[in-house]
Amino acid sequence: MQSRPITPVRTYLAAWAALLLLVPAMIGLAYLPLGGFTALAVYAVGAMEAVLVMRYFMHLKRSSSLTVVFAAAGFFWLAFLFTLSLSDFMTRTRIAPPW
Amino acid sequence: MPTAEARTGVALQFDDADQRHEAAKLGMWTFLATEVLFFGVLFAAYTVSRIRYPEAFALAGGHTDLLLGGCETAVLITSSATMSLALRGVRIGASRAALALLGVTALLGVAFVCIHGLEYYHEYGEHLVPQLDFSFDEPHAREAELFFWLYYVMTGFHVLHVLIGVAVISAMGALVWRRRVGPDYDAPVELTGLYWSFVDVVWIFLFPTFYLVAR
Amino acid sequence: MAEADRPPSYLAAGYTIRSWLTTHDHKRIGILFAIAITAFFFIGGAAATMIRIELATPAGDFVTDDTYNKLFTIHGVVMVWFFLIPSIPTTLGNFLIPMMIGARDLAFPRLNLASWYLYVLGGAFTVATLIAGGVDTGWTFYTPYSSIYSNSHVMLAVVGVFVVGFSSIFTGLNFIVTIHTMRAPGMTWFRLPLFVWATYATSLVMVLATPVLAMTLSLIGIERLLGIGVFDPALGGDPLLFQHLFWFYSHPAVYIMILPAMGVASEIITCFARNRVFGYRFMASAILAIAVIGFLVWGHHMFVSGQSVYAGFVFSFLSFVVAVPSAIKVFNWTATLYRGDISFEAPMLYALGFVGLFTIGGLTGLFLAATALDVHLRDTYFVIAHFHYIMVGGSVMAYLGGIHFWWPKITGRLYHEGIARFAAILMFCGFNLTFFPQYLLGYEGMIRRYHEYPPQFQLLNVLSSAGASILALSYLMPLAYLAWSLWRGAPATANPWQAQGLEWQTASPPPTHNFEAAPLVTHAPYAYR
Repeated sequence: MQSRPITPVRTYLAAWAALLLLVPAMIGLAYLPLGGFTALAVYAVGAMEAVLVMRYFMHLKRSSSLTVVFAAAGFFWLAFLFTLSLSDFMTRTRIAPPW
Repeated sequence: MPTAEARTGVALQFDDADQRHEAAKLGMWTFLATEVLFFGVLFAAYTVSRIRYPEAFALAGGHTDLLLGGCETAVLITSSATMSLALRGVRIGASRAALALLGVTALLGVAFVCIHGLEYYHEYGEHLVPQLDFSFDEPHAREAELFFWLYYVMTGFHVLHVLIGVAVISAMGALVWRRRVGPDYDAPVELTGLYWSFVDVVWIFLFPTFYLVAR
Repeated sequence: MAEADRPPSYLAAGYTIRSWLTTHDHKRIGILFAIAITAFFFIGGAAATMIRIELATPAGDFVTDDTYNKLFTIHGVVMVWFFLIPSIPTTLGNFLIPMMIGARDLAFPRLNLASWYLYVLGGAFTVATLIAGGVDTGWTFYTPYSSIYSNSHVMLAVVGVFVVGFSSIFTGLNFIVTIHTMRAPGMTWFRLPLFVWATYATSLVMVLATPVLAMTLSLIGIERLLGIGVFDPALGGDPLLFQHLFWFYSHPAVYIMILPAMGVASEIITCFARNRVFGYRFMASAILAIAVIGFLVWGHHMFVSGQSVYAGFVFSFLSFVVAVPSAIKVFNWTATLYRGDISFEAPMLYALGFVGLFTIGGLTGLFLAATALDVHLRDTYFVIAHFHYIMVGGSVMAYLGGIHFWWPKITGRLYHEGIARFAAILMFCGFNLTFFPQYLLGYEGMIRRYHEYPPQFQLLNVLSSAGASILALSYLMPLAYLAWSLWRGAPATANPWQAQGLEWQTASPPPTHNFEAAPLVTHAPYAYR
């Protein structure tokens, strides 16, 4: 039986520290006058945090590529829902009736 | 009580423990994929609503408690770290350390729920509970009520998942205590860790959604 | 191995009801599902019978309009979620997947049993809905009617579907993990029978689409309970958001219903044409393509709902694209028949019927995918005919074909071939008489979901109702002769059809752990020539 890989404590602590730094970074970005890009910036930091959690706390760093595909699948499929739904909501125009 | 060593006899459908472990991991990731889509619907509903009512959501977003929300984020991130360390403890046979770390993780989960409960209590005091007690004295009250409805539903589903997680982590504590899991058989703890970190990931996206709308 | 030394069949491993209700054996669970879905098929069929009786005359004289609404709703809810979606995967899939890949069981047997109990629980809620007085929103639960205005038992119905959705998710999860991790030595992906590919793709769809339905139904429930939600226009919500979320699941759901049928067809056609499948890799790729592209076309249900015209362009184009892999499969089945040594046993009759009727149904889908035509045809009987050709002419016929094909393996008995062939042909005729007139009715403008209609549509409606009575008879016949075969059918050998595939290498019925020794796979599937 193959023995399970043991991640060193410092890896976990480093990831934890990085995450705790990203939280105030995200909050700080929200206060900057970025206009419409605030949401994009803030969610981008969120995505970075999510990747850190998934890579280190959920062990994707040392998992098979099949596992990584499984992990990504839900988010990828969610992108289908978002993109095509928004293709409706963001392109609605008022068509004046002919009368 | 059967020890972890005695449990290496795997169930009949599996060829060996490695196959069982691989199957368990893939099974949990598949389940987490379903959870992404489950919560994703709510995020989609939020996105559509925010695109339609940007000013209302900006006004309403100013009424969530950024300090408490930030604390909740830090608490869950820390609990994710302690959960990973607990799994490591199980794997190296340090069952006392594992038990302690599982306990800390569960406590942090409870702390999250308490802080959130405090938030809900404050919002109730500020009359920001849709349908029950909602009065919003800025413009776009109707759409602001929608913001808060989404807030309660989305954080509510999340809190439910946190509570389930705390229960499962406690159960893992019991398994470690009775030596039903150990270096030879750690799948239940690993799967619990995956679930718990996933709950953290959901919050990572919930936090900007409701606390960083327009600051 | 001598008869006396053979391990007992899975049917003999316990005769008590308790041994069945607490089983972990995928084969027994498959049978539990078969019994449950058959019961629901006849409930849904009873609703259909009443609908066709009402529609035999133009006046709304058999039932009230409210009752009619409840009838078509329960027909849709039961047939979609309690028959079609589970049918092939939970019965044939459960029984065969481990055997086809050379495994002893699925990865998570207890989860499999839980899946059955969830099905039964969801079914109980649905029966409760019926007893309490029914639900009248249509199986599509469109808002704001379902979330605000309907006075029928929406909550009960929604809970029932939510619960059975998790049954679906657990089944899909089980199949995905099993197929990835438990294939026998030598069973590479491209040596898998197409039924396994089809079940795998179906499972992907189940796992990725059903959670969206679960949350969407929860939102209806919350809106009904609390009076506020994202679907109510008066509160700033959007009914179209519901439709996007609902159809994001429900369009892939139709692929859950057809992909397993395609898998069954490939198994049967290769066996009775005694030929390798034509273009195996294209067939497998087409299965995956249908599953993936099927997630991108849902807006074709919403062309005239108020959706943006530009989104309509995109969905229309993608709906044409998704037809391509289906067409490839039809061409390849036909090519598999070419220069084959064809015989017309009952399973083959069902499979050939499947190919023909699925093709007609699929072609009429292209009519509906064209936005301009859809403006005219939407909400007419043309749509009803289209999806019944695929669901009933396609899925149900393939399901019955599969039941007949694997009946000897599952039960150890042979059914009466002559009666079975007669029933298959009767079904084909009854089906066409029922549903072809509906294409004409729809094209001429008869609107769906109305209990009465203008008198000029009566002749075609009478033909349709007459056809329905023949179709009903042709469904009762297999119930009768298959049940009869359990008592009086001739015992079956391990491989009565001389078919290829690991499941035919073991006894009929198989022992509890499927194989006496783990098989080693050394060659491609369908080694008929």
